[in-house]
Amino acid sequence: MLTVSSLSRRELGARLAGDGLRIQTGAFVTRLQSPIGRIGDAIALLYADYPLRDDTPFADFHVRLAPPSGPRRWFRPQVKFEYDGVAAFRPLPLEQAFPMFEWGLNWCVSSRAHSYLIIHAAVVEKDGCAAILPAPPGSGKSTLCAALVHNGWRLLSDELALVGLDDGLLLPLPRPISLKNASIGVIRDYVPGTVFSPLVTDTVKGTVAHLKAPAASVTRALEPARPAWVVFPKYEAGAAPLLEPLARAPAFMQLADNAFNYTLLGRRGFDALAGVIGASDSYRFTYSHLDDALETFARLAPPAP
Amino acid sequence: MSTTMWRLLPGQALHHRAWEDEYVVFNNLSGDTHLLDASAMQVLLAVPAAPAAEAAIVAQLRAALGLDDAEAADIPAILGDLQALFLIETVQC
Repeated sequence: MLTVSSLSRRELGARLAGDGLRIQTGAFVTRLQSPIGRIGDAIALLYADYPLRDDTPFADFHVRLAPPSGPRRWFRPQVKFEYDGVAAFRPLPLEQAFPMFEWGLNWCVSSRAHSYLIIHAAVVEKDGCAAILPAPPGSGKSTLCAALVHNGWRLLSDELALVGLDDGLLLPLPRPISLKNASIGVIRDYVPGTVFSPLVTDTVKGTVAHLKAPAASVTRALEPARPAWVVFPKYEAGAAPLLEPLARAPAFMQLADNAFNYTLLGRRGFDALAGVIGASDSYRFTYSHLDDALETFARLAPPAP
Repeated sequence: MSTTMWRLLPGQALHHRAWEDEYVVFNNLSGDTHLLDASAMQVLLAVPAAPAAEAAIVAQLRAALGLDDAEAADIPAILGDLQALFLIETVQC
């Protein structure tokens, strides 16, 4: 299947400005329209390996990012995010167009894809076993995820764990990893040869940049993984690495707190979450150095059957 | 003289999972999920769908689990906790 990289930058821009670019991320097809050059630049840079889906008229999400009409087009220009032709959020400064696309696409999935239990968590996989890393902002989840997926682990997602309601498997959604503030420099220094979107300053999250997902993870984006570990990470400056077992019932409650649609799904959500917890060993993990974190994850043993 | 009777909230399915003496219970009426320890879960499972006197529930648990007086004395408070979670209710008879 053709990927975004098969398009020249001019062709890509023409599609974005015209009928739209149909791009596949995991199980979802997004039709993206945008006349904004920096969106095209970032898509060319970070989505080169993703399949084009010109073969289907269907798209899960119809998204458009464009400047609002009116004088704001010239004075402090902004960008708006439209879903199905309707503005979904307040406009942001034009410089934040690409982060807004990424955040908006997360919103599309988390507020629409209710055939999955959706948990706010990173997911990485190795040897068929997946680790779910749920955590609030500031916990170091994305930094840890970025380090892991450039050191032998496959990226399923940096933000959204998708649990199949029928099979309990984790569905990949490998997209660029959102890093912010000091984490950007940490990963630049830690992982040689990384590809980042340009820095965007003064967002609600501070300075943000998106790290290109490993091509091998994108290639395996339709290959689900079974849950094996639930690890609640917490970055703590100067802390020695500490992996503490967490009993399943409290882990269940903590994981439910991080789910977007657990309540909406009712008993199906309960069963899906119980399946994840029952199949996994759960831990709290405190760390301050990525080397320690990688060593700790390398020692994780698959749960006893 | 009225007697306090307890019953499960009508329609309560008590869907639950157990791990290492701890339980998560899905309250299908409220949509909430509750984390219960083993003693609370044993009390919950002893409350029938049809109203039963508190004394009968206590007696049943004493017999089934071999509770001593101190343990049995905790049961009314546990029933109150389960009521606060909208899992069970009282009926005056």
